[in-house]
Amino acid sequence: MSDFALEIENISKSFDAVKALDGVSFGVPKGSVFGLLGPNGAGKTTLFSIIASFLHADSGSTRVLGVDIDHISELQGRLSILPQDALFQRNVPILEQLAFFRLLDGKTRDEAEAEVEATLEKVGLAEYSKRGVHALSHGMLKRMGIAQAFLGNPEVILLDEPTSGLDPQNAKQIRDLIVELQHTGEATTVISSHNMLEIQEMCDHVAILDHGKLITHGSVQEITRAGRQLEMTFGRPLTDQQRDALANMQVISAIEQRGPERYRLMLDLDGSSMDEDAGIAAVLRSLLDLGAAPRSFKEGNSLEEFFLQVTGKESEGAE
Amino acid sequence: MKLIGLYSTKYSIRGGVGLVFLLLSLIFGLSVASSLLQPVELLVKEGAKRGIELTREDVVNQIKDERIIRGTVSWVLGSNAIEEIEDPEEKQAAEEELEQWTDHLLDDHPALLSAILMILLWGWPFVTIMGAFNLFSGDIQSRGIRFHLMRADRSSIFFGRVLGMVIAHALVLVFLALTIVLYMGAKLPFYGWGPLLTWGMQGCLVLIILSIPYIAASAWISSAIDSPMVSLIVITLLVGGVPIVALIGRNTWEPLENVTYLLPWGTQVYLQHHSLSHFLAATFGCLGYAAVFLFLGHRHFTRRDL
Repeated sequence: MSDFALEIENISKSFDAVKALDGVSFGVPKGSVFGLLGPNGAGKTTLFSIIASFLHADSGSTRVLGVDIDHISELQGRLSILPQDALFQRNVPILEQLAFFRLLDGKTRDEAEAEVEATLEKVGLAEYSKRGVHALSHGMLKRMGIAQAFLGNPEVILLDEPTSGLDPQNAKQIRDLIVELQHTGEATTVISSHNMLEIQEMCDHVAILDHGKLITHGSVQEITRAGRQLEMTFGRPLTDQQRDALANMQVISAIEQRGPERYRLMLDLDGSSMDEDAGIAAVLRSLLDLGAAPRSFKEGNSLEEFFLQVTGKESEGAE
Repeated sequence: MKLIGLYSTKYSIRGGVGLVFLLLSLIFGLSVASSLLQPVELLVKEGAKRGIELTREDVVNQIKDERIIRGTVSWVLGSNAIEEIEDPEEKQAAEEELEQWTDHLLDDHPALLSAILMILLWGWPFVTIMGAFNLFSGDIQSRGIRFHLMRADRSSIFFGRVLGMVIAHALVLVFLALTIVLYMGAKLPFYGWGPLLTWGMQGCLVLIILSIPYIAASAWISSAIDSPMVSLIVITLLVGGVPIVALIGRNTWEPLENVTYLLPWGTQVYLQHHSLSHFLAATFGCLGYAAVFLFLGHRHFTRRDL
């Protein structure tokens, strides 16, 4: 048995003259929360659509849970997706619509309705179950989409830009919801986004696409190891002497001033023999020795830094 | 497939397009019935006013000889085409054939109902396409079909929706036929319930058979075109264009009249033929057209990007 829930091999897809995907290959480990990153037009939605068999690849193969997606009907109830921009039927009540999906998965009507009601309760839409989708706001529709994707605890869940077009509050709600639902099942979840913060917050593995090509893939830790960041705020600005002392540390590759008393320290764990905890401890010890006690301390957005490095583009998370 | 069919039937009527189809089919069906019923009702009323005591047979004979009834039936059966036949023997044979056919419709069965059914037979394809043009295109455009693609194979979705549309048509036609028959039975009691119901249901079956190839053609076009509006325009031009091109074109170049055979237009009238062999040939013809359109539609739907 493969350790991968999803195996993508040499997938290519063109739309007329535009090459949307060019020989993309990677695997998604079972049980992981996998982020598919890339700027707009990188090919994320195309790749998702090929995995879900909405689109046919020009070449290459895709296996989900060991099943070739040419036989996608064998994955009935085991694979689900929140497609980007797909609309629910306007004239069908929400409960009826979602229950029909479970009927297609082979459930009885009673089982299907019970499952849908429970899932709608989880996403906070229980009171709308008898109404049509026209009664839902954009954020609610996204939650309904998430409910649809998590219905019946599928083994692999694909979420295509689950927070796109949402205000920060709604986006946070959706992220929390995904994390909560992810914890209740044992699914492998693949989330596509161009929001680095979102991916870094939720995912343990990532793949980065740009112009249809795979730039890199692996665990978030591996990818950001060379560019781990610490954001620190001090009671007063660092003196030149303190900055120089920090900059001379082997584990620190750069120091960037982000505000009057706020600094971003770039750690290069690849260049030292230390692990992450030891590296951070060494930095803190040096700061205390230099008489600069940090008032606040948080991990910076290392993934974004890496993304910008490899794609040369601003991400949504940087805005 | 059954599940998709039933769901599709239920919501094809409830949706916007479904409601338009329902209204259109009822308006068309009842208007045709009303336009032919009115003169007959007048005839019966006038007879009663004048105190003429007519037997049941007299009334039935008067109705079948009404110009509008006989004219309608002859026109749909293509009496005009006979006049263009030059060979006298051939012409005579065609006239005899037409006479037998007309007698079957006007003498052997309630003439008024036959006339109504003949007009429905002619106009029903246009109603069918109004119900079926959006079988797939709307959901492909909105990408709503993607929610189904994850849970059912494409063949089941394709044939399930077609089945659902056929069931929806059958339900509407049964309702329409029953409404007309019940009205006629109540207003014109001399026909008797038995012949009315039998002939009405037979006519209903014929219209259901006729709907199938047009639903199949709509399924093919709708699965190939993402925009419902464009799909509607294309299918309307096709269904309306075929008889028009054949009719106008044959005057300039005779073989153009064979264009009618691109769709069941050339054979569908035989669904009301008096001989069983002609009826069966027309039925299999309609199903043959349906099979071809379904094959093309299914092939396209299963291979295309959705």
